[in-house]
Amino acid sequence: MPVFRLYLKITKSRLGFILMYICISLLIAFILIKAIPTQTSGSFSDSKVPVGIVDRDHSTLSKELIKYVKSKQPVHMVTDSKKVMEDEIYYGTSSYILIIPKGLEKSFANKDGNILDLQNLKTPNSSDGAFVDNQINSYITSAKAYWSSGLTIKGSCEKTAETMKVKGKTSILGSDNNSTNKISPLYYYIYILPYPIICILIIVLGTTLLRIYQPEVKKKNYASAMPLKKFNLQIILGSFTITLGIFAILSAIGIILFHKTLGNVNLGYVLLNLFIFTLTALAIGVFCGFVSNSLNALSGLSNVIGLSFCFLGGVFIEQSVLNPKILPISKLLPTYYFINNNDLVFFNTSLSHSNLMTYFSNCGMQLIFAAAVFAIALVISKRKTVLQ
Amino acid sequence: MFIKQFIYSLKYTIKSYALTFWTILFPILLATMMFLGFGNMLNSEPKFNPVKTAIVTENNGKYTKDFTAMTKEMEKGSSPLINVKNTSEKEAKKLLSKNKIIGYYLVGDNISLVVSKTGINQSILNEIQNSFLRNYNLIENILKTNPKSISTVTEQISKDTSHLKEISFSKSKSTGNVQYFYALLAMTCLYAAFFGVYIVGQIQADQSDLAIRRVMSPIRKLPTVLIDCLSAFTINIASLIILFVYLRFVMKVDFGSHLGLTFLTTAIGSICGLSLGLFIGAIIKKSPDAKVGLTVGITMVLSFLSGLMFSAMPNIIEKHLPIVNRLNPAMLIANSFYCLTFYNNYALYFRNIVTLIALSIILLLASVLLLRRNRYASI
Repeated sequence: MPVFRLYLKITKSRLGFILMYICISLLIAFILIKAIPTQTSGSFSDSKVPVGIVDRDHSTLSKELIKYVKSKQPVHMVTDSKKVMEDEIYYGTSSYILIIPKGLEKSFANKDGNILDLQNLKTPNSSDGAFVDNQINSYITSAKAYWSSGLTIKGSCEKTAETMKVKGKTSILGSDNNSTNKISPLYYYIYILPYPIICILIIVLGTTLLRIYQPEVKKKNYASAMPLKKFNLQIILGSFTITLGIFAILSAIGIILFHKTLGNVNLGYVLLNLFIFTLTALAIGVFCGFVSNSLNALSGLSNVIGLSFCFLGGVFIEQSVLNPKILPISKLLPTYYFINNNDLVFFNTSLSHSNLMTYFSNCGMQLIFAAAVFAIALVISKRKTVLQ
Repeated sequence: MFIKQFIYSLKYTIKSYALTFWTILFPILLATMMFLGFGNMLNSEPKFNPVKTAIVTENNGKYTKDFTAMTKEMEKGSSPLINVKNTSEKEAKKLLSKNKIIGYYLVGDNISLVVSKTGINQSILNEIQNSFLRNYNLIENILKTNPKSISTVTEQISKDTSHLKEISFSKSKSTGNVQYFYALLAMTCLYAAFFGVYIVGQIQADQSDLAIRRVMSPIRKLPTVLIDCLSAFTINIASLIILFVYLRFVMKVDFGSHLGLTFLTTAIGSICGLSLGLFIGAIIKKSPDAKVGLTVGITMVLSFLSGLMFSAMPNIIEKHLPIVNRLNPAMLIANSFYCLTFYNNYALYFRNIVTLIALSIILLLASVLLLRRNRYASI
């Protein structure tokens, strides 16, 4: 199979690129694993926001408030200086700084019923800020209410501490609440794979097709004794071998590194989703190979397509915060369905019938995208051949 | 002579379409993608995005009336916390599995929340349910201990909305999402590295035909390289100005009011990128294509670490490996913009700038040492 061997030989010349992207994806995965707080798929747990506190009141109320916030969030005390507070936010040591004003406790006795406002420093209108705001407001409202009922400050704080222990029941859809499976780091690893997969396959398949389908090489091939059908068959075989190889390497890395953390996750569904996405990347790679005319153009295309698909499909920007106006476009991209399936498989310890329907329809959408791109690539190739 | 050579170099470099793409078109394309992804979340005075939720109520349940009333209150105002839909349980499940809502409440004689995963928006919904139950518990407690004060207490609870006042040390009210755009501008500064690689390719006889002619000619290498660097710097600064204008005036990204210092940052960032490119070009003994590929990879990794693809990345690095943030040029550039926009802390800003200058000098010196006195065999 000379054409197939040539295919592999050209791929070997791009081994540096493949290794670079594999290393990038590994690095990203390791950083994400280290960084993203542990989540559970079985039971719900509140998010943690690092809070810095400046206590200017040093009263019973302020001490009890700090105790309460400490029970909810990772807290550390911050020196009362503008520079220190700026540094806290700049270096990310605190995402939220609470300043308890001097005279807060005394303001409970104000005749007009208004108490001193606490101050905060946070990212404006962030969800993290709204969450901590709610917790602090809840505490102060409760303490003030108990105080208004005639209790002392100390008594109010004790009662408030008891009240704050009351909480509702929160469960995760489609999961067994008794289990406390941590979300496997494999989730984050798989999550970021669309970018390297798209880049690698565009560069590798694109380079090979670009070289094999150069007008002069093509003419020589047409003139050779090898039937065109056999020639094309070996090209297809080569493309699939490379795609399978990339899929196998990236999956193997994930499985080897994270197999112990899988828990109840159905690895078959994870790999099927990844394989189908790799097929869509294959179609994109073939398309780029036919439309580009230089290696530099391929490099540009790989980054433009890789980054746009990841930004608009919900890989780099969480799908829940994607611009609603852009969602119709996101839904045209395979990354959108890939991420949906990844969430579905990792956040549900068992897949219900409706989950499975959603999973397979997401796979279907990715395959339709692949088929459409592949068809366009073939049309372009045909037109190029006719023109030549 | 100098001006003539500078103009030739300028023309020659501009005609390299690959360089034009990477330094002008690619950043603009990427900025557009980010802008489309974030939508109105980048406006200078953004609003909190209400958390989408649904309520499944049970008629005549203990909590039905009060909880529904409370959530309706939360939907009102200029910055509502939640956005509520009343549905059946089946519909709510469907909406949740399609990610149309963050979670749904089942309200009757008990209250419970159903979500699809753990997250900050899910935590907000949980906190709302907890606050409601706590207020209920509080009223029950007061009814037991001091029923006479109940009217004062209920008035207090219904009146109290927020006890927190937001303060800021800067005039900027942008969201954390601007970090993506600062990282993008930093990446474009570092893309001057493509010019650096290209310039080295023009003086290494094994890399290009022009380099063979230059090596053979009796001119000194240093002035030639300096003129090439100056023309590359001019083009890169022009591309940065185009990108800055696009980000500032079309996308309304907040860069603060220190225009002069912002320009200084991009200029020093650009010099640092150029030095990086010269260093890559000098140290790697591969084809020009391989060098460009490597430059794409290196700048992409540095940009990723500075928050180009994941805005929380700098904080994560700061926690686990802070030295990377102190030395990553992309991070230093992006942080300088951040300092200028959000803080009036010039000490942090100038520390970043001094580090960038030091990095540039080190890379330049290393490149000079690697490139000087090279000889090529005539085979």
